[in-house]
Formats: sequence, structure tokens, C-alpha cells
Amino acid sequence: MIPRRSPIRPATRDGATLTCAGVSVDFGGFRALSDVTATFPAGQVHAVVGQNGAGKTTLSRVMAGLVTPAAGTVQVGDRLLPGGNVSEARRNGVELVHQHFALPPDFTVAECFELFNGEQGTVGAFSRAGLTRRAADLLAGAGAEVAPDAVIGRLPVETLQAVEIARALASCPKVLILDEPTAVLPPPAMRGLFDRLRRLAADGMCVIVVLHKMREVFGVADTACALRAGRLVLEPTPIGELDPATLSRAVVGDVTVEAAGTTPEPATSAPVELEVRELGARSGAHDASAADVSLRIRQGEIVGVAGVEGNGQRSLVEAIVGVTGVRSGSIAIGGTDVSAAPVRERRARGLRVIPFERNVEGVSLSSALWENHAAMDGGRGAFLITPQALKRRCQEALRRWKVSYRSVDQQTGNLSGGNVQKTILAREITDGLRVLVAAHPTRGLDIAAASDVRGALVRAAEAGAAVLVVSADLEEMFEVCHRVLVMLGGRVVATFERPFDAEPVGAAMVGGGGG
Amino acid sequence: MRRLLGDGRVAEAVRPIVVVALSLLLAVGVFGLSGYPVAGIVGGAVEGSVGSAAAWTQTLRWAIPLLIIALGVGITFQAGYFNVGAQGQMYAGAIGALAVGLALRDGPAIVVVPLALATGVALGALWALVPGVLRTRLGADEVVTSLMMNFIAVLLLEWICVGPLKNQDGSGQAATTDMLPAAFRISDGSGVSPLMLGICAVLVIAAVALRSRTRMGLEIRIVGRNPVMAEWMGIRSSRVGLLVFGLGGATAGLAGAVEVFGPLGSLRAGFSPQMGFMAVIVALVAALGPVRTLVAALFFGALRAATLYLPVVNDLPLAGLDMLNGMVALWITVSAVPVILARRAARRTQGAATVAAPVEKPVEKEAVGEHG
Repeated sequence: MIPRRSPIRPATRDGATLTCAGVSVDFGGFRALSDVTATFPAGQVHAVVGQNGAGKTTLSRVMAGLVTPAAGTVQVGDRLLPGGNVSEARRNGVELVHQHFALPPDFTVAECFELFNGEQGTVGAFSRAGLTRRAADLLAGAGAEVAPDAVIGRLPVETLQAVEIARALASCPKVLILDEPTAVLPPPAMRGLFDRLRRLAADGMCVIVVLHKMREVFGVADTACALRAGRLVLEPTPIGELDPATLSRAVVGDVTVEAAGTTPEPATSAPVELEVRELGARSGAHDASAADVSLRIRQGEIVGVAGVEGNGQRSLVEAIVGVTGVRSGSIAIGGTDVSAAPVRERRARGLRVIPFERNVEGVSLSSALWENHAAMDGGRGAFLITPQALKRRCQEALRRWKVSYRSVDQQTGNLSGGNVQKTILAREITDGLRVLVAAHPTRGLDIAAASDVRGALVRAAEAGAAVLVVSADLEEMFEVCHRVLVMLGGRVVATFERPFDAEPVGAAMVGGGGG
Repeated sequence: MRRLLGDGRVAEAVRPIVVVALSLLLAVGVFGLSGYPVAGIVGGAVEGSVGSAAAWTQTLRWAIPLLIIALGVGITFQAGYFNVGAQGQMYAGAIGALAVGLALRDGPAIVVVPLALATGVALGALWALVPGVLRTRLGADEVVTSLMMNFIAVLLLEWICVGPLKNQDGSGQAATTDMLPAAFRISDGSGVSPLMLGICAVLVIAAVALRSRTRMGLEIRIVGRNPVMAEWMGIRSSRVGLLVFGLGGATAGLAGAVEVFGPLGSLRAGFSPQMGFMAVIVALVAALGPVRTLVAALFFGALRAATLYLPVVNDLPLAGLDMLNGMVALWITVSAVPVILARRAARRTQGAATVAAPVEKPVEKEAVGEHG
């Protein structure tokens, strides 16, 4: 009954060169890719860089057969892939690791592998022991340290990614494509990923990886190519012939990137705007409880909270905002205890928030821009509203923040990620601002947009706000913060002052003692 | 369908019309195939709904309760709650209003009638708040609970009609209650009067104002579209939820009270059994806009009037006309329900996060956050 499976332990991998010839993709009237021609030889790690909306994800999806190109072809070795056919692409050895993991949260790791297993038996039946054995083999082969019977929904994000990669490697692909694999990873896990990718390339595989940061490109890739507005502006070029400045210019074009600069130190006499004392709070099953967290932020001060995701940052932020109850300890805004106050009252006292997930907690994608903007009334609580006045207010704010939009009546979901984030800034950074809580404020944004957002945080602090930044991007925090706290297991385990050094901060994040 | 119509603003307005037209065509096609005179049916339908003053009265008579209920249902839907208990809320309102009217049958109309209508409104709201509280406090599915409340209301009405308010001098053939004094009636048997039209006008204006001129209306829309974001903005989804359940129930209760004090004059077990559900369809056809609700209510009122008129002129069985109604309902449901369900799904994940139930955060992210 139970189909026999050969134990898969790929000792040597083979690779194949992947070639795109004249690939163009249209989404409706929008040209996402135009005439992209590039060759990615086997045995190397190829970085694809570009801003948000430059077409990186689209290109990787075309290569994996998820998107049908309007023109052009994709070739693996000497085989031409039929456009837009995932199973055919997989059969020819192309595997894609998605940016957002698509594994079902209730399944175990072993079950997930079976789910994506291409070589079906006649009946499709399987034994649990067989699955577990096979999964263990695959995980070991991919260098992922995780138990086959672990439940997906409970795994930390970096392990999840290792599982995804192991899943992709299960079919012995010739080409492995990773779409922004570093976006979700804490720095220590990044090194592990890069080592893994380098090993795969050394075995002969063609590894194509979409990246955002220069440092990462130069840390892992053999070649780099750049996309800008759907065009390949830099052909895959050996990394030795490139320097960060050249690559940045290729990515950004002629736009000058505004540097946030270093924020001046706040006066030591400045009053404390946000005070959290011995806070205990729990956001949900996917984040550690914040335990005994204390922090004080003065006017004009920017304090960062670093940590591997899931170590209580969400619990802390939600408790400050008021969407999660305070179990113990207290929170005060501007000297007033708000531990039991509803969100609205805290906002009325000057609390403003850039939430973790801008599309979920930050805006309503299907609502009009002006509605999202008017959702915050700053505690004024008037019963009657005048839509025209609100629309005008929204218009002015969006113009001030240089959001590209057509009309304030348009659906927010039509904007790009960077522009959505700017609409949130436009709504939150207003006159009444006293405490700004920014959670992953630049996640997924391109270089220019991220720099705008960082600049906004710095300006808010300069204008006298107390700013709390939660981020996974240490470089960013070192750039803007006065102090950086590290959370681990729900507790603040270390505090760092300027000048910052990545080594001890990174060590504290993963609980490496000494720090 | 979506491809055919695109998804712009124009398409949104055109879609319900296309849907209704298709259903009518289909129904007429079925009648034709069954050997009924198509021309006669179409002619009869027009004649019975808008062909004469009497026909217009009939159309308005049915449009009035549909409109009143649908306005409230529309508000509930806007906040993302799928309250389908309008039928029961209408019964509750009708029973309450009638009870007050009969208890104070010797009182002055100017006092008793407003009091009775207010009682109807309050009882309708209470009836709706049961699923509302169960939904917002305990996370119980409001579709199930509001539907269940309908059955309770049907049985309650039956009991009222054979028990406490039973018609003493009736023949006993049908379960009916005593008649209200003529002085209390706000319309004659035709079911249309200036006062009733005035009530409708006030309600439409109030609904338009609520939607576009109040912060509450804005908050209702935001909660309906993204309850999680609403919470982060300081808008309490559960409170907005209770409010819209209350409003929806209140209008349904008012419709019930108006029915009793208007055309009916007394209650009969299982009167107007389709009204609450038709109103849901009216609200969906109108895509929840108050003015469009008015238009849709008129249309479905006309349809109802035609439905009652056709068997008189042709020998079309009544069941054939129910089929027509059902066809429209089916099409509308098919085209509108996915939207409502998506909103419910968004709400459910949010409910799971705030209620003490096990939390499923990653699901929430996948459901709403896929906009790479």
C-alpha cells in the first residue's frame, strides 16, 4: 500500500544556468517588467537588487513559473520553460522560496514536506514514520536544525525559513530562487542563511536571491544585477567589479537619498514623556510575554528596542498602545498613568503609532485615503464631520509627506508599500504628538522611502516627541537611536548607549552572554 | 462576471441592475418554456406594479417596510456584521407595538401611537442585541444566532395570537389578535399614508447623514473594512458592533410596528414571512447605500405588487412568482456574499485575537496582509 520512496539525501547537487530572454510582464496596464535579458550561470550566488516595485519579485515569479510573461522566455540549462506553469518549472528544477512563507500553520514540518511532494505514489497514502524519516533526511541535508514533528505555526521565523529552504531543496532543484529572504531575519540568522546559500552554490547549484541591502549583497553574492522600474539597469556583474556606490546608483538612479544624519542628544533635563514601569503584558500566542519591562523616554529622545522577533516586542508595543491589557506594572504618558485607559484616551494624550503590519493594523486597504486619514480624530471626538474638510486636511497632509496618489477618494490598497507607510506617518505625526511608537517603520520599504521614514522619526524627536522604535534592522537603529534596548524572552536584557557596536548587540539578541 | 463588468465605480452601480435584469429574464424565460404567455406576464407585471394609481399604492405599501428594514440592515452590514435576523426583529417590534396599543386602547392616539412605535423600536433593538452581545462578547457567529432568534420570534408571535392577545370574537379559524382601535391606525388597509411616507423620508435622510456626516458613520465603515486597524486607532469594534446591531434591530422593530399600526391593524401568526429576508436582499442589491436602498426597495416593492397581481390576470401559480423572487435573491447572494464573507473573515481573526479564544496571529497576517 505504502509507496516506497528512495531516501533523498542529495550528496552532490547539480545546477543549471538560468537564462531570461526579453522577459516582459504586464499587470493590467502596468508594465512590471520590460525586456529583461539576463543569464545566471550555475554554481554561483546571484543577487537581484532594486527598490520596491522595481520588479524583483515579479522577475523571480516569472522564473518560477508563477507569472506568465507577456513576452520573452525563461530557459533552464537547454530546456525552454513554458511560461506561467509552476509544475513544469519545478519539474525542470526551479524552486522558489517566497518572501511571505506559505506553509500551513497547523501542519507539522514533515506533513508540509509531503504536501509539496511532487512524486506522488499511486494511492497518495503515507505512513507517519516514513514521513518523519524522510523529513529528517531533508532537514539534515539542508542543514536545518528542527524536529520533523514541530508544528509550523510555533516555529520562529528564521527556522521557518530554513524549513522552506529544505522544502525547496527536497526536489533537488537546479535553480533555487529566494525572494527577499533577509527581510524577516535577525542579523545572526542572516549569517547562517548566507553560509547555507554559499554551500549550495559551491555544490554547483544556481542560487538567485533577491536582496535589499548593499551589505548583504557584498556579503553573499558572486554577481549582482539591478532592476529599476521594471528594467534591468545592471546586468549580472561579478561582485569584484562592483562597489557599493555604483550598485546604489544603479538601484536608486539619480535621486539623491536624504540622509537622516545623527540626532542631537536631548537635554538631560527634558521631561520624561513615556514611562513604562515593570510592565507585564501578553499579546498572543506568537510573542513572548513582556515581563518586568521598564523604560523611560524623554522629550526629544529616540530609544530603540532590538531583538529577534517574538521576544516580547509586540507585547510591549500593544500594551503601550492599549490594544493589549496591562497585567502588571504601569504605563504613563506625559506623567499621567494610562495603564487602564482605552486606546482613544491614550491617543488624546499624544500617543501616536506606526504599527507592525501597516496593511493590517495601520490602514484599511479597502477604505479611501481620506477615511484612513480621518480615522484618527486625536481625541476631539466630534459627532458631526464634514467630509470636504476632512478630505482637504488629508490632501494637505499627503502633499506635505510627498505621497504619490491620484485622489483622496482612491482606495488605499492601490498605493505602494512605501506610500502606504507615508500615509500612516502623515496621519500620526501631527501637532499633538508627544509619544511616537514606531514598530518596524521601514520594513519592506525601498532605500529612498526608508530614508524618508527615518528622517521623519528624527524630525519628530527634534520637535520634542519621545520616540520608541522597534526594529529588526540594527543599522537603522544605530543611525537614529540614542539608546538601544535588547529584548530577549520578554525581558530587557541589555541597554546600549552611543556609539553602538553591532557585535555585543547581536550577541545580546541571541542570548550570547558577555555582551 | 467580474471580468465582464470590471471593478470600477460604474461597474459597482451597474452590477445590481444587471443581476436583477438577468434574473427577470431567466424567470420570464422559464415561464415561457412552461407555456405561459410571456407578453401577458410582462404586461401584467407592469400593470400590477406601476400601471395605475392602485398599482402604485400596492408598490409603495410593500416598499415601505422593505425600505425601513433594509436601511438598518445596510448599516449592520457596513460594519461587517451579517445580521439576518430582521424577520424576527420585525415580529418582536410588531408584537411590542400591538401589545402597547391594545393595553392602552382607551388612551389618546397622540400619546399611545408614538409610545407603541417606540416600544416596537426598543423591542426590535433588544431582539437584535441578543445576537449582538453573543457576537461581540463571546464570539458566537451572528448568522446562526440571529437566524435562530427568527424562529423564536415566529413561535412567540404564534403564541401571542392564540394566547394573550387572541382575538376574542373571531371565528377561531386563523390565529389572529384583536384589532387596534381605528383611531390608532396610521394608514388604512392600503398601507400607504403621508405619515408613513414621512417616516420613510426621515429615515432615508437620517441614514444618509449617518453615513456621510457623522464620525459614527465613518467609524462603522472602518470597523467593517478593517476591525484590527480600528482597534489600533482607538475605535472599539465591539462597541460599534453593538451599536449597529441595535440600529438594525430598531429599524426592523419600527417596520413591524408600522405594519401593525398601518395596513394590518392586527397580527396574524406568520404574517409577511418573507419581509425580513427580502429586506436583506434589498440592502445587498443597493450595496448598502441609503439612496440606492430607496430605489431598490421601490423595485422590490413593485415586484411584490406584481407578484400579487399576476395570478389575478393570468393563471400563473403563486409558486412561479416565488421562483422569480428566489432567482433575484440567488443572483444577488452569489454576487454580494463573498464581499461580506471576506469582511467576516477579517473580523473573525480579530475576534480571536481579542476574545480569550486561542490566538491565530499568522492566519490573520496571511488573510489580510498579502500585499507584497
